[in-house]
Amino acid sequence: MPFKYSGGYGPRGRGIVGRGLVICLLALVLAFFHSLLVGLEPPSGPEDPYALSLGDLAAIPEIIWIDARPEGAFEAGSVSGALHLNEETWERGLSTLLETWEPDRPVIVFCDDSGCGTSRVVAERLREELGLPEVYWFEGGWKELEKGWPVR
Amino acid sequence: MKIGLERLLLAILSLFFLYAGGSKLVDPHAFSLAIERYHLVDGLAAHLLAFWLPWVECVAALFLWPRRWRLAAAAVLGGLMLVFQVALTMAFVRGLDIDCGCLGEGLEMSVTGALLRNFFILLLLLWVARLNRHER
Repeated sequence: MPFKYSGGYGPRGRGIVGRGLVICLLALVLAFFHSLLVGLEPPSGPEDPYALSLGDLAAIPEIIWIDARPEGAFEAGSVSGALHLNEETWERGLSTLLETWEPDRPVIVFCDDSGCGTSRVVAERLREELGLPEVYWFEGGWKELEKGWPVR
Repeated sequence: MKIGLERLLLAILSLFFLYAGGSKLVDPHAFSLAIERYHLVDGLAAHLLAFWLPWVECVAALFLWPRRWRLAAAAVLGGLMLVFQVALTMAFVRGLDIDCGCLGEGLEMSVTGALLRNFFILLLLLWVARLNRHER
């Protein structure tokens, strides 16, 4: 008897895949309505005293910039003089920061754009673990800085 | 005996996934930050996943109970656990010093602990699939 290809997963497999897709789509619909209720992006702005915008930067003379994006992105381009530090390179980045840090120079952390939260997390961790009072995060991220700040 | 064992497995799994999903749904923005800590996705992608994945966990946990949907729900949850295992393994290999974020902010666990726990959950899902292997 010649071999006959039955095609794909068969009716049983297709039934499971189909029902799996229904579960995923139902979850997607619920997630959509949930995001409409609470907002897709986390609330930020005036209520966070450590959030800075491009307008705030002009009043700060000597900033220690920390780039919290992945290492590849940092190497491809960053703010002039920025240090690299995120949770992946914490130990190494921290020792570089401590060598550079001076009490009267505020530290500002940035990540990719306004939607990323890494900058806020890194700034918070630096304040908590090192007890540094002036560690801020830049709301607009690299996307805003590359247009309005000296970069390399 | 077999039915009792299966109900016990389903109860453990559905409670686990309802808790895991529910604890993230309480604060999806915190879960979005937890996703970003893995440095695999960030920004919009992390926000979208932070809303979608917990709902997948909750919906699939409920669909474990109707017999006709059981295998599909177990497959979805198994796939989800595999994705989590890959992310956790990458975090482990890269030496990321982070909380796994698997059960919201309430019950944090190290990456290694989460890997072991997820492996155990995957085994339970496989067991459920095996008990229902003749279902259509």
